[in-house]
Amino acid sequence: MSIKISGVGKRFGDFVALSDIDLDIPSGQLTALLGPSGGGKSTLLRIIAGLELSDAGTVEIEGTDATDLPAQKRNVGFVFQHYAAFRHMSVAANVGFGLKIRKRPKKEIAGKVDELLSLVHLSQFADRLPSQLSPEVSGSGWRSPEHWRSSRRCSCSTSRSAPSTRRCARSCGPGFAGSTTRCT
Amino acid sequence: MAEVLTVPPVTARAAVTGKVITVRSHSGFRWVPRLVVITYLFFLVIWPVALVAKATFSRGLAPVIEALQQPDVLFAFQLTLSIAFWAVLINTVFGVIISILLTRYTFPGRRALSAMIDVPLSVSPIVLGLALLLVYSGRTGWLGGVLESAGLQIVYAPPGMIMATAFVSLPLVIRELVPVLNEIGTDQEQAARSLGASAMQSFLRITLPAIKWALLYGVVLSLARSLGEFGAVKIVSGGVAMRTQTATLLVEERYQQFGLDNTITAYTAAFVLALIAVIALVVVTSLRPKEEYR
Repeated sequence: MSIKISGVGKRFGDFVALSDIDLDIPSGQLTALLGPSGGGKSTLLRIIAGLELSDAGTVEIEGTDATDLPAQKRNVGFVFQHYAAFRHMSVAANVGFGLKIRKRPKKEIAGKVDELLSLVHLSQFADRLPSQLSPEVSGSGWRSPEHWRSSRRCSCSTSRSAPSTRRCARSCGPGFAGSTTRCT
Repeated sequence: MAEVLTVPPVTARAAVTGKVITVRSHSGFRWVPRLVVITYLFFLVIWPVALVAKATFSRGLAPVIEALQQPDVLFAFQLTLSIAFWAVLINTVFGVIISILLTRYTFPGRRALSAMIDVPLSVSPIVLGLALLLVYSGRTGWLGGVLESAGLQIVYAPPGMIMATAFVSLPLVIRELVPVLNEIGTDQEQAARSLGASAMQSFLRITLPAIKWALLYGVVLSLARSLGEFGAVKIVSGGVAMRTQTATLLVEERYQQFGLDNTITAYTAAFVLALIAVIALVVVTSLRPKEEYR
């Protein structure tokens, strides 16, 4: 499920973050955006995910125009640089959030959460709050939305940490027709 | 509760845990600031308030109970509570909306709006009361005549008193919420959106739980302020006993009348007002978890 970006531009006040960007991201691949700090990599990912609106140009996801689609309708996962864990929810509730918001049956959510937590060896921390995890555990990328989504098409990551990159690559591996955009 | 303590960067080890800032100093001088603060608070707050309690019970419990059974006292408290309830409800809803507007959106005039929020805190309540009168008074107000002919009396009636009270206490909710909303940032909300949550779901499941203690504290402060509002309400209510006389207005009226009975009634009403506000503050402060999720 490809992403096609044409003529995208974005300014923050006087600062030009993106100007006339064209990019095709093919299906089933891991694509990395590389560049210096402040080069607009994250901004482009945020525009793809719908967290930021572009000033110009269009974003096509899977052949349909998604330029004006709100973030929750795009089915694009997003890993935040600082993880953005929901601080008042347990690890299990954090992982199950995407399913809960889609009103899936409780049993299905619990099963999926168990499966994903054991995949990353964090089952024993299921009932803890993010603030109760050790830095090693909370930094290990457990919160990557890639793990939580049942119907993802593509995911974006602005994370710089290697473990989460590896894990993301693994989870997007076999059985997935999705393009992963990643910036390092 | 002292929310903010500014401590200059000293070489002494400062353990910053939530709201308590401990600075270990070398000498015995640490007693001096404590003594100064306690003396200051004693003469400014503790002693006068204790004297209100003392004056209330100067003739024992019987006159107090008698005072609380007077129909106009009961009416005044009912009116005060219902006005405070509506004012706090309005403030909670608009306080949350305005706070989110101020912290999550940029628009022309945002700074002006932010400054305007503080007007009710900086301008005397009496002036606010007069301002409301100019707009909503039935005879002279800009809008009052139209509303009155439509059968809606604002001034010298509960609607105007609710408006005045809400006006005066609005900043309290917003000033509690804005720093917390700024501190939690937008990452969690955006993560929720990218996981499929609508704006409303994101607010109810992510933002609201994160601000709930600040909101509750703001609501209680707003409630305490509403119960005690005097100036603005005095102007717009007319202070007619059994009709538009709130508890604070009753305190003033009784205190200025002659006779020990009236004085005791005034002190009793004042004491009960203070008691409700203090209980609300104590309950919320003790409910609030010591270790907040940050």
